[in-house]
Amino acid sequence: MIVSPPVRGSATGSRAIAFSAHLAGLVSGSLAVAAVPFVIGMELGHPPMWVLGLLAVFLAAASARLPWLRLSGSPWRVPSSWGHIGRMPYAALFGFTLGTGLLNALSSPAFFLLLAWAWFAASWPAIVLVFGAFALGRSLPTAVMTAVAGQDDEVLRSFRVIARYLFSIEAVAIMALAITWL
Amino acid sequence: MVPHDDAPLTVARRPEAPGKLTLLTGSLTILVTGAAAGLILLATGAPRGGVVVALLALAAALSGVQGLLTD
Repeated sequence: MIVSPPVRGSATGSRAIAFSAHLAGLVSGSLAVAAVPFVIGMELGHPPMWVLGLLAVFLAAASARLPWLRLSGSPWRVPSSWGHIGRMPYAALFGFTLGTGLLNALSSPAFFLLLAWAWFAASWPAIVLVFGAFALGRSLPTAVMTAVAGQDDEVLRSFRVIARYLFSIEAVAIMALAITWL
Repeated sequence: MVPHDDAPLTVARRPEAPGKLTLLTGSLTILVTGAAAGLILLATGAPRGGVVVALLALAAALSGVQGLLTD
């Protein structure tokens, strides 16, 4: 069952507002979770870069779907009953939980690398750029469905087909990073 | 009289899932490609902060989109 933010509605304006709340929640959640390892790294320091490189190799293998290597995240899902708090608050809260990347199901192993890298990151603008990219990627399917309301199922199916093959590009990028860090 | 259908029976066959060896080969191919890309970056002196952040942003965006598959 797909639990998605209530961005449907007859009025285009209300859908756009709800989506904006969802996107704001996504960005907030991703930056909030990134801040933790970043602050720890700034205050306490971090291990040598090759440690990050080794982790990246492991996560690249998981991203590449190496047999016997599967990572999973939280089984928790945002309850649809929370919708009683109102469309916009629900959309924002839903986005926040997705943005943290840890409260819901794991989007992909790359997210763990992002958190680990945040520990090593030297500047907050870089954190904003990277985790902002995650939030935008996470919002993309919802954005398209909001724009083409009425064709949700077809658009969703198309996105699922595309998303199924993205893991290979992700794994290549992670492995390339691993080599530069080792 | 019982109607007789001469049409041959066809059984829809479920496509076989790729075997472990196929999956392993595919995964290793992806990893080798990534390693090669990393080595090229090192050889060209490219992996400075901007390139690293760009690759991370790419991985992050791809990770975000794949979250759809977990919904």
